[in-house]
Amino acid sequence: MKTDDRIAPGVSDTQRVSFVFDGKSYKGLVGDTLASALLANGVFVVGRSFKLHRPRGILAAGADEPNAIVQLEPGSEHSEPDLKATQVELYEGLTASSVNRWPSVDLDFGAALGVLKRFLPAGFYYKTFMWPNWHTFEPSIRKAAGLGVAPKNADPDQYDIRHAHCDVLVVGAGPAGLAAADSLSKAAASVILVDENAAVGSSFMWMASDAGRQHSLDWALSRAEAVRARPNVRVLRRTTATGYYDDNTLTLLERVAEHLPIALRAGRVKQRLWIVRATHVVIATGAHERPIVFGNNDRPGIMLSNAGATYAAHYGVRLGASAIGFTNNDRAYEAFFSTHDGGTPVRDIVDSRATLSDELTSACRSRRITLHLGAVVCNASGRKRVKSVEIRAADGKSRIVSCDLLLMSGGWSPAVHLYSQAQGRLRYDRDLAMFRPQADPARERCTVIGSANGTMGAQSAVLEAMNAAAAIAARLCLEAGAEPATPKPKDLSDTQYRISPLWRVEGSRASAWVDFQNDVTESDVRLASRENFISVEHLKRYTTMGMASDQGKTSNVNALALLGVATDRTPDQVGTTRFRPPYSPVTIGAFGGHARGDLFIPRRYLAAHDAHLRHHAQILEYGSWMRPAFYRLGSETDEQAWNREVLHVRSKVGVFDGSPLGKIEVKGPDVVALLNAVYANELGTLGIGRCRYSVILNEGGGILDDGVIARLSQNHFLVGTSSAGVQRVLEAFEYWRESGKGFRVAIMQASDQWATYAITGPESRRVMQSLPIDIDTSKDAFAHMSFREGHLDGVPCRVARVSFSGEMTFELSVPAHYGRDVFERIIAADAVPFGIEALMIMRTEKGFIHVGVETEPSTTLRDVGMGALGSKKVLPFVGQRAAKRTAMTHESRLQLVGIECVDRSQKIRAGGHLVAGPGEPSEGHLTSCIWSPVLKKYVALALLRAGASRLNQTIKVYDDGKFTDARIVGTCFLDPDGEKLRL
Amino acid sequence: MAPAFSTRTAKSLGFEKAAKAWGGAAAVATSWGDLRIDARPLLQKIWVTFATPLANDLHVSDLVTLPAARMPLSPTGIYALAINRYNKLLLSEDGAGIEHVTSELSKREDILLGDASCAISSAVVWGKHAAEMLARAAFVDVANFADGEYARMQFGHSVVIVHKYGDAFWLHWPETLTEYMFGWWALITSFERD
Repeated sequence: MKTDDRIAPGVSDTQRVSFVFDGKSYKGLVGDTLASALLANGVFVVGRSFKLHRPRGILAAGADEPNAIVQLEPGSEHSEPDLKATQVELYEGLTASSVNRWPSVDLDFGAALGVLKRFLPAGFYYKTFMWPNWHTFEPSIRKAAGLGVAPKNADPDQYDIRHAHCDVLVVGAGPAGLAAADSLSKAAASVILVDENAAVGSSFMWMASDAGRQHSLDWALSRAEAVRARPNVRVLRRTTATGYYDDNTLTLLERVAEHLPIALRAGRVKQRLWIVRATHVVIATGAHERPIVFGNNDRPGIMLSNAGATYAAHYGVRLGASAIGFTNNDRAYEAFFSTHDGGTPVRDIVDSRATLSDELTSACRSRRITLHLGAVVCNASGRKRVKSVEIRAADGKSRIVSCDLLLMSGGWSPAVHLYSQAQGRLRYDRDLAMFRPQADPARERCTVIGSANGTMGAQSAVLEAMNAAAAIAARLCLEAGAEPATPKPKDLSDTQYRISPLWRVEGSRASAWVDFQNDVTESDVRLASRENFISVEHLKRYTTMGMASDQGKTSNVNALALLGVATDRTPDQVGTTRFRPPYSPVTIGAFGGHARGDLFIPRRYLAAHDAHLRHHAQILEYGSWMRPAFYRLGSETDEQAWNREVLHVRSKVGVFDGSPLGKIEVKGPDVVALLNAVYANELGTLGIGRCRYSVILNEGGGILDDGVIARLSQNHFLVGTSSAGVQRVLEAFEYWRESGKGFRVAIMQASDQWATYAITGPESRRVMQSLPIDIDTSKDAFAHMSFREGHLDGVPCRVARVSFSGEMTFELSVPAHYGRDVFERIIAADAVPFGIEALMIMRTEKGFIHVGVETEPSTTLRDVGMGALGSKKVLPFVGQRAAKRTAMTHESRLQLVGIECVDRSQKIRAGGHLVAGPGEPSEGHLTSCIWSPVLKKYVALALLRAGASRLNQTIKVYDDGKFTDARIVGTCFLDPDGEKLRL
Repeated sequence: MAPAFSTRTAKSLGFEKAAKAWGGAAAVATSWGDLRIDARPLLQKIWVTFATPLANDLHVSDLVTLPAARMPLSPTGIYALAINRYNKLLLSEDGAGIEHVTSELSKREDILLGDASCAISSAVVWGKHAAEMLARAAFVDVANFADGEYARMQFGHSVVIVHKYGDAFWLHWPETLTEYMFGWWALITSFERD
């Protein structure tokens, strides 16, 4: 049938669009999905099966589609793999291709695997590729596996994340969902109504025939219009609720602009991930129709009955000239009739049950449809499109009936994914042959209504929804209250749902498919049970049933029922697999949202960032901070630049931006008690205006962080931490304040408030004295390890005499907003800026540890040669007891030592292993290694087994295949007495 | 000595109007209608932390000699946000005169006052679509905030505070995240509204 002949509610009969599938151009209508447009153009083979490359057609009409997997916009930067053609809305210029075939979907050489089918049962990978080992075969098997192709280039599309709260989130805008949203919004609840389709009233697309359907659609549209018009309602179309998480948090994926031509997407968000917290959730997600398991039931042209009815009635597609219906339940008849009335004549209906209601029998008769009661379809033929089926009558006699379309319906499975994720329990309803929510509530606050709850008639579902809405409104104490369930939606159909389970059709030697996407057959399920994979979770993993992008929406219940048949158990005894999120695949781009490029992670900039750039700083990221690594002058190499900085600081004066250093203020009557409880050294004896190097341990006795603590007043301390350690020290303070002895202390993180500049070198006092500062910085007035507060040109400032370089240093802190100006003033006073690389060289020359570099979480004070620091303290502190354990004090532990080459012309690098010789095990490694421009040689710090007792011994450094003779020495290579600090 | 603000941060991501706004108000064009962002880098802010948690029924005004009506939303614009189990407050003021509050509080040995003016940057966002913009910027959903209600979100190692004050939303964030914030807003407001 020609595309432009279609007149149906789901498509525009005037707006045509062009699209390309597998290189061929077609025409469709606005409103079409790719699936409906392909069917309208007579394209029935749309893909190849995953394992055996069998030709596959469209089975479903929504998220449950297992076969019609396409690559959208292949080859372009917008390429996206593994989309379901049933959910891709048609737009002008759309290009798509089938997957898992070569060279084409019609001629696929991979189909040769079909000859080997009997040798490729479930689990054959595990059994076959054992020798010499799995990894021999893995690359080629993985290359052959997979459906679409992941794009290699960066995704140019924009994604969005948005948070929302509401009283009630209604998932699903079918009859039940619409009715609930209508009632609740009338009761003044804030409502978010979502539906994954472009249009509301999903099941009305095919339910009911003729006037009934039109009335139903009118009802749905009028309700939707009324709901949308209310200001307290947000309606999200093209939106899938993908997961239900703790505390009624749900994620929704909104496909914002995917239905638009690519040229019109500029400035628009492609997809938006909603994170919604709802006081109550109404789950009206409908139900999925099940296929029937019979021979060759995967042939193109065999589809679910509701899918056939949707394409025929909603999209106006004529699917064939001669259709057959095959079912075991009453509800399928509505679909058969809709298909028939929509222009695709249904000639025969095969019903496995022996009897049928008079009403349905009469309806068949009026349409001249032949009924075969007590009969089954046991086989189908037709490689690329079904040509005929074998019908076996109740008396056992079979006959071949030609057809070009088979609509099947093995019953319905409620879409209980969200309910199950909300910790709701399921029960098996024998009468309805389905797993449905138990009557008891889920752990989360949610209500399941409509066919998701097993209420299969539209009218019953609407009444159930209205009653549920009234109960929810009462629970939420809404003033108006939901309207009572009095008015009956008289025009809605409400066929009673009767079913007789038919889990498999026996009598055919042909393969009968259970999971279409993973090529799992009924014989695979039996094989799994024979091999004792009788748990449904084991069955899933052994056969791969229920995996991949459709997550077994059409296959799970059939598979577990067949497992029950094979093991003589009922479906409820077998149980279901877990319904884990997401319900449908979510792109990684949607999860990422805005967090990409410059917005991937917050970068923190120094107050004097611009000034650093003016002085040719080479900025690198250290932690989250963008900091100067070094300052390049002229054509200097990196090494020349930082060596120059070191030599200048050692001989004259330099300035280092230490603003990220952690600064925590602690004040209160119990401040000494808290600090003594968490720090390894005594702080009660620290005088006001003095500083002390201090170390904090973890509970295991390992070094957590270090820094200098200054005492500002009797009960007020300023705790210095490493740049990276401020958060963990702050957390330790908060933790011990809350869970300790009720310490009365106030703790405040002040790191960002202060910009800190370390003026370092023999001439640093001269620079300090040239600044307009009201602090006496003379040698007698301001000794090493002292702290002063004052003003710099009227601005509050703090100065500490501490050093990480081994040179006399004044650490000057000013409010951050004044940082840039102060930094420039220091430079103008003849200090040369130096970066982190130079500082690291100088601290290594001095043997100062860098927590996280020289230490691991289990490294103790004793290991780094500071055992005396903790051992002098009498009061208990965190980590004290653990650090005394034998394992933490054993002589064979890794201990910090200095390493220098025997031949000073030799080069060594950090990370090199310390070994006795070739073939000997590693005894430790170099933690830091630098070329010292002062000592003119490489020196290193290392963690070495029993290092403290091995000084002056020789050892070899192994690095990248090379052995270098080295000597074990003390950790301090320069000014061991600290004379330069006390100038 | 004049403070130097980080105008570089906004410019570097092309949010020029916001860059101008780093000293005053700026409108955002396109479909966001009357959305305004008014940066307040000079807003004075004081962290107040208490050595012991405040009891739930103990109002901060009981601790300082101020009329209750002036806390948390005072006619002079001083407001206080309880941040951390009621033992950490952020006092803020859109003008002069916070000194008398801090002088009262500073007499207490169990209270620690800290100037946060340089560490925390602030902006006011208002307009018909302000709530939508903030929700899209991955802040919490502020659409239903009552006057005076606030929320905080973890943002890397830091906390961003969103606070409704009248018809506007006040935001406070670590100054060093300014580039990130403006970049975010530049991206969000470049999208067409729903």
